[in-house]
Amino acid sequence: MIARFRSATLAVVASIAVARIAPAQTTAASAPSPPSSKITVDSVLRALHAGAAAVSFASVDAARSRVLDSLAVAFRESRAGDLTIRDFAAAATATPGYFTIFRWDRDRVERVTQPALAGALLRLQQVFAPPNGLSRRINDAMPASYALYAGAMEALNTQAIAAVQQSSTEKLRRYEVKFGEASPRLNPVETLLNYGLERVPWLPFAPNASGPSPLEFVANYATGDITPDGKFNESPVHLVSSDNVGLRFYNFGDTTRAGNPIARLLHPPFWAAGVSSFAAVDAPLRSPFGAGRRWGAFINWGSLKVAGTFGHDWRAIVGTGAQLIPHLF
Amino acid sequence: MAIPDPQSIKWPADRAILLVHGVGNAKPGDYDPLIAQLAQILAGQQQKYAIYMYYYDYMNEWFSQKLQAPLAATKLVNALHAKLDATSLGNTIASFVGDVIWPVMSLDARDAIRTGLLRQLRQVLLDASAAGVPMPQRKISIICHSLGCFHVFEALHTAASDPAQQLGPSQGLTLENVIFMASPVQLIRSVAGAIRAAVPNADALACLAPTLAMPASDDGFGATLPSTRRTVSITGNLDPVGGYVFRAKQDWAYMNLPGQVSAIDQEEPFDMRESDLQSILQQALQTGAPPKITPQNPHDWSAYVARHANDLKQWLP
Repeated sequence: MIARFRSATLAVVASIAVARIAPAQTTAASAPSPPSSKITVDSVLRALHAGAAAVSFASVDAARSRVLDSLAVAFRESRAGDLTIRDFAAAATATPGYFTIFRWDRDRVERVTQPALAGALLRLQQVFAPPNGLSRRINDAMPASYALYAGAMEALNTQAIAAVQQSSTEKLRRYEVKFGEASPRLNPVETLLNYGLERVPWLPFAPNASGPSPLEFVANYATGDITPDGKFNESPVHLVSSDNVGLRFYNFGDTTRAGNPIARLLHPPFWAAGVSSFAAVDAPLRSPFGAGRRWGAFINWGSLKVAGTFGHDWRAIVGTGAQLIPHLF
Repeated sequence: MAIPDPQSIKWPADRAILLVHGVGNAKPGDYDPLIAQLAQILAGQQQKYAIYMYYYDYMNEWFSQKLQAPLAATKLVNALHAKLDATSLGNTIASFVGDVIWPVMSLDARDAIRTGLLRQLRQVLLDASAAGVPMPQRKISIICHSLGCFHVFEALHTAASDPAQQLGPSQGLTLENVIFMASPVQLIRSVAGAIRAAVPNADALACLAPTLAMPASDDGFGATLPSTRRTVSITGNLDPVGGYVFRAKQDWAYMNLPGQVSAIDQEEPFDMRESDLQSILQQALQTGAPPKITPQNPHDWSAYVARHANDLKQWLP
């Protein structure tokens, strides 16, 4: 039964697609493509209307039947009816990317990217979905013809789920960039500060529908950075202690860094910048708040850190985030 | 490391079960024996099930490492391990405390784990579609254990209230069963409620809603559609995570959802037959060593499944 449904679905959606291929799409007809790339919203509605007529939907569920009719009008007026279900699902479930929009007719873009499409998809699903919708009526009354009438709508539903699935995977990837094993660790102060900042509604630190915020507050005490001695009489470099306060920005958009150290250097997963205060002398584990402290700034390019102190006793400092005492600062 | 793909299975028929585990450092494959146990219980059913398992502990690990949990949560967990390591239940409770911190106290962890669970549920639907199972014929159930119950409870509320997830009852997903085993939902409600001011975005937690109930949504035409046709809550009378302490029900910890089918297992700390005990004592007499009696873990998921094998056959036809 299931295999029959599946093959029947493919046959039906293919026949619907063949009947409704837009002229612009026929040029690519020689390339094999899945049926869902050719089924249009109009063909979904026509199949549903045919199914509704076959089960006398208007008499058994007048409310849903009326909504189905009004949706057909709404899609026609918004000129979204000739969108493929793939494009419609993408537009209705998420903000489509620029390349997706460029593939569409330019004069239709403004209309089909409006938020109302999400509402229209939901309404269509409410008309169709079991246990109360048209799908159950068709399945109960004519299971053998289910694919004929409902196959295209099921394909649209699957496209909508697949579109959201893609967004979810991207969202988790962003969480991995910010929280995964390669991300910078937070010390207890940073943990508390970021926890507090996430709770301020008008600050962009809390996660949203796209995933985590790209921002993170930095407040650390660096003990493993080094600076050249300048005299080279004993040791060529000295460890320095500094306090750094600033912002880290995660580069969620760049997916080229996977694994390769050179790629990670060229496309770092995060940047950070802020102000620093350095201890009065170039030595490890000194207080950067004591008398004679020096002010400066830092920039992180991934885990590579470059910093400098200002004034007559200036220093250039580099680091990698290594700490003399891990897990504390 | 890439994000693991959601588990995808070719449906053998028109039904599927999603298992959601609880606390612990579960890696893909760790629950294969449980899946085999369930498959064996359901082997005689009319239709075969596709059985999925949602693993998410790698995300707990992200947050634990990122926030340098050794300084806070892990110390707490280790202290609890030291105090409670007489039984495996002690380890369970200690791990539970560690794992529950993230979804309650961290907005990011809460969102990430829920996103992962909804992603797995969507994959179940995509597999159903790939297998050509029509929407009105799909029968999908969830069986969850321990902290997994909390994640399922929260995720289903999100699915029902947010159409953008494409998983709402009015969009065609009404589960056949949600079977909670040793659910800490009420316990978390009580504890998180007591520290509500410290819980970020507490209003978004379904377990802190004024009324604790399974989700439902309007079908758009005036009827209310529940997320599931049957809600089952099973716990043991020695399982504190499920709301019982030494056989006494704790109202502040026992989950009691409206309309749920409830089962309270009568557990024994030393669950053995008289003949087993006789054999142990005889062996002790022969060797001169003290009798070795290992306490049962009243929180054990496999034991819950075994005790309810017949119920599962009835609920999962």
